[in-house]
This record gives sequence, structure tokens and C-alpha cells, in this order.
Amino acid sequence: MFLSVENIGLSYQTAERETMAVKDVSFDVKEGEFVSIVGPSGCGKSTLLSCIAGLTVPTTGQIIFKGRPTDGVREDVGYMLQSDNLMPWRSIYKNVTLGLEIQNKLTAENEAYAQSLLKKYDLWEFKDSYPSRLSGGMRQRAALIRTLAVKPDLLLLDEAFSALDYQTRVNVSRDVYRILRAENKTMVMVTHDIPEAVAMSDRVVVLSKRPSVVQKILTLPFGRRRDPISVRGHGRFQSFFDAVWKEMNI
Amino acid sequence: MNNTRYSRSRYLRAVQKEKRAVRILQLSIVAGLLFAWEAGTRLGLADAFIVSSPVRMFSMFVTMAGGDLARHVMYTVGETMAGFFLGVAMGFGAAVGLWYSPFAHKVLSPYLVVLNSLPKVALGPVIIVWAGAGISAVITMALAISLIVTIMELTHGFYSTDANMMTTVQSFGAGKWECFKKVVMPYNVPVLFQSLKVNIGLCLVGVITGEFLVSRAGLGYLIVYAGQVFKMDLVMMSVVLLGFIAFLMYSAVSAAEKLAVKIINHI
Ligand SMILES: Nc1ncnc2c1ncn2[C@@H]1O[C@H](COP(=O)(O)OP(=O)(O)OP(=O)(O)O)[C@@H](O)[C@H]1O
Ligand SMILES: [Mg+2]
Repeated sequence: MFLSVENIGLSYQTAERETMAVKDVSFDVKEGEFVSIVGPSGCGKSTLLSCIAGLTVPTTGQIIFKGRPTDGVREDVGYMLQSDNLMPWRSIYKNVTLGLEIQNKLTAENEAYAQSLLKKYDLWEFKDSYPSRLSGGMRQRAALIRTLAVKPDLLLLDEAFSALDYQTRVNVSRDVYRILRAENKTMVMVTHDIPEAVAMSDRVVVLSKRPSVVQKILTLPFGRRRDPISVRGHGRFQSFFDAVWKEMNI
Repeated sequence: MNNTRYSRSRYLRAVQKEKRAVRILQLSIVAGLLFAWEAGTRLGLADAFIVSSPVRMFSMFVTMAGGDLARHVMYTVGETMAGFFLGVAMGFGAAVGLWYSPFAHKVLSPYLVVLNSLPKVALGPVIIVWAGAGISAVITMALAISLIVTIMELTHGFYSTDANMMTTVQSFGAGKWECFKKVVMPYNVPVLFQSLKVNIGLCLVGVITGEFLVSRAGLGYLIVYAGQVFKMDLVMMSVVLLGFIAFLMYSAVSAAEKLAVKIINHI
């Protein structure tokens, strides 16, 4: 299996109390698959994703990615948080190559790849601009290219679109969908937005209330070549929305 | 298009006009004060021997400029710069250390708070005994006054760095040191320059206090000496000169800030 999440559990320790955020979560992700994680607010979605990213060490269980257990941040996994987090003091180009810089991979070949992404996804003419000059959607694309530039095999998105207004959000999620499919990536994303989860993924993992376990995993039939906007008008879209909604509110 | 051009040029002209009005008013206030001061003493409303006057100050300036005024100014400026650069270097180093080690920060922060609220002038006698009565005591005084504030401000700034930006660079595998270089430092450039600006003022306070206490040269010494022999013209002239020096140094820091922002935007 490409990615295995095996019996992950995590308790936060603070001076006042112990908070069990995730109780026992397991699921698998195939190569090239898009999986969404949804669940009630505060149920541990971000915690789980942070474990998959290797930024947080789970209390129990393990993550196995490409046959190797995750025991820290790894270069084959890309992670995007809410809002773009572009550095306002860096030009778009410098922002996009930040990961390469940190990983000491600023080779001509990798820079050429970053440049080709900028060109392909309509940001080339802004490469010398600063983030404040760009619209929210463009900034989010730039952040995605920053993540893609280091060539991760797995992308983790935590509410990556939730800082955007509705229209931009829907458009950006289509952009991201197309870009990630075109680059043949595997994606696991966390979202609050059920339609977004149904529109963008092959499977939806529904988590229970905190401390979370897997409530249900739904498989969606819309295929790789769908358009994440027009699929919302698909005859069966509503029934999947209802199914996720029902599982979330049990 | 023409329309926007028009409103743009009108906007720019309005900005220019306001800038000029501010300058003119600023200069008028100075000129007005000087004039009122001079007129007041001429009309006998105040005794020029006690409060001095612009003309008397100026002639004192001319007299002193032929003498050793330059030497006193150099002392004060030199000591202030030494205190400033030492304070910035030491304060920055300490703040980086306290950021790098949260444990050290926990251990040391109550000491910083106490040292910060202690009136540093109370250390005067100690400093004289330890550093000797001379330039080194003056510089130590400047450090005593400015260093703790610098450490506290920078440390606070470092710890307040945007958490999501930090997570972003960490997700690329950045270690602690890289986080500092890529995020913490550039994020805190405004904090750094804010503290430099405060620092210039504090160093001057320290230097003048130090010169009051021990020195044989510098504007602080000149003020104390002139006060003792009742040369109010010399006292007032030195104070005005001090204000001028403070202004120049502050401007230098502002210019450095503009330059630093430009540089940081191009690395
Ligand atoms: N660093 C932390 N220390 C202590 N408790 C934490 C910490 N981070 C999260 N928690 C707690 O763990 C639980 C799960 O948090 P998490 O952020 O993973 O949930 P989430 O599903 O992503 O929430 P949301 O829907 O609001 O994004 C919450 O109850 C939260 O208060
Ligand atoms: Mg969350």
C-alpha cells in the first residue's frame, strides 16, 4: 500500500489535563488517489494530518509511507496549511523556491521545474512581484507550486482553501484538483466543507467526534477526469453529500 | 484611463502639498519659539542671564566652536555609538540565545524583569568602581540602560513570529537555525529597527548620565560644569546641540531601516 495509517492515536498533554484528540484511526491510500478527511469540529483532523506529515509524533500506531515508517518530516511529503503562508518579504519566485533552498536542492534542473510550474499555472509574469500584489487565488496557487517544487509524492492539505472567499475557493479547489491530477500526485486533504470533499476526492474518510475513530469510509464514483465544479450538478452528488452528512451527525 | 491618470496626478499633487505644509509648519514652530524666546528676554519678560537666549546661545556656540566644543561633541557621539553598537550586538546575541533555548528563557526571564525595572542610575557608584572613572564607565552606563530593553523587545518579537510560517518551513525539513534565518529574522526586521530607534535615545541618556557622574569631557560634562559656574548660555547651547545630535542619529537609523528593508526584499 502506498500510504498506510495504522491505528493512530494521539493525546495532548498540558499542565491542566490530558486531551485525547485521536483515539484509533486506520485507513489506506492508493497511489494517485485523492482522499478527504471530514469530521466534526475539533475531532482531531489537523492532528491526524500533522502525524502523516511527520510534524507530530503519534502516541500510538504508525504511519507507513512508501514502505517506510514516518519518523519525522520527510522530503517526499508536502504539507499545506490554511492560508498561503507566503513570506511577504520574498518575491513570488523566491517563495516558490523556498523549499528547494531549505532542502539544499537549488539545482538548475529543480529551478527549471519550478519555473515550468509557474509558467504552466499562470504565475510566470508575477514571479518578481511580492505576495501582497496577488489575489487570494493566485497566492494559493503560488503556495501549491512552492509545495510541488520539491517534488513530493504525497500532498497533505489542511483546510487549504478556507481563508478564501466562496467563489475564489471553488475556483482554486478546481485549479488545485487539476494541477495535482496533471502532476500525478496523491492527496490527502482535511476540510470542513462536505461539498468540497465530495467534489474533489475518490474516497471520503468520515471521523467521529473527539476522540476520533473512523466512522465510515465512502467511495465516490466520479472518476479522475471529473470537473470539480460541474460534478456538483451530477445526479448522484446530492446523495453522497447526504451520506457524509448523516455519518458526521451520528 | 485618462480619468484615472488625472485623478492619480491630482492625488500625487495633494500628497506633495501636504508634505510641504507639514515641513513649513514644523520649521515655523521652531522659528516662532526661538523668536518668542529672544523677544521675551529683550523685552525684559525673562532674565537672559537665567534662561539664556537664542542669540546668546549662538554667540556661545561660535566662541566654543573655535575652542574645544568639537572634542566634547566627539566624546559624546563616540561614546553613544560605542554603547549603541555594543548594546545592539550583545542584545541581539542574547535574544537569539533566549529564543533558541526556551528553557534558558524560562530560567532567566524573572531576572530580566527585575533588571528592567531597576533604576540603572543607582548602579552609578558601582560602575565607577568597577569600570574606572572614564570612557569605559560612560559606555557601561549606556549599556546598563539600553541592553535589557533590547533583549526583552527582541526576545518577545522572536517568540511572536507567525506560527504557520514556522510550520511551513518546518514541513520542508528546516531545523531550528534555518527557521531563524528564513522566518524569524526577516519577520522581525520591523521589531529590530523599532528597538534600535528606542536604543539610540536610551544610549544618549546613559552617556549623559555617565558623563554627569564621572567624565572630564563630553556634552554631559560640559552641562554639569557650565551649570556649576552658572554659564546658562553654555548649558542651553549644549542641550540644544544634544537634541540635534539625537535627531541626526535617529535619522541615520531610519535611513538604515529603509536600506535594510530594500536589501531583505532582494535576497
Ligand atoms: N497543541 C495542543 N495542545 C493541546 N490540545 C490540543 C493541541 N492542538 C489541538 N488540541 C486539541 O485537540 C483536539 C483536536 O484538535 P485538531 O486541531 O486536531 O482538531 P480539528 O479536527 O482539526 O479541528 P478543526 O475542525 O477546528 O480544525 C481539540 O480538542 C484541540 O483543542
Ligand atoms: Mg483543523
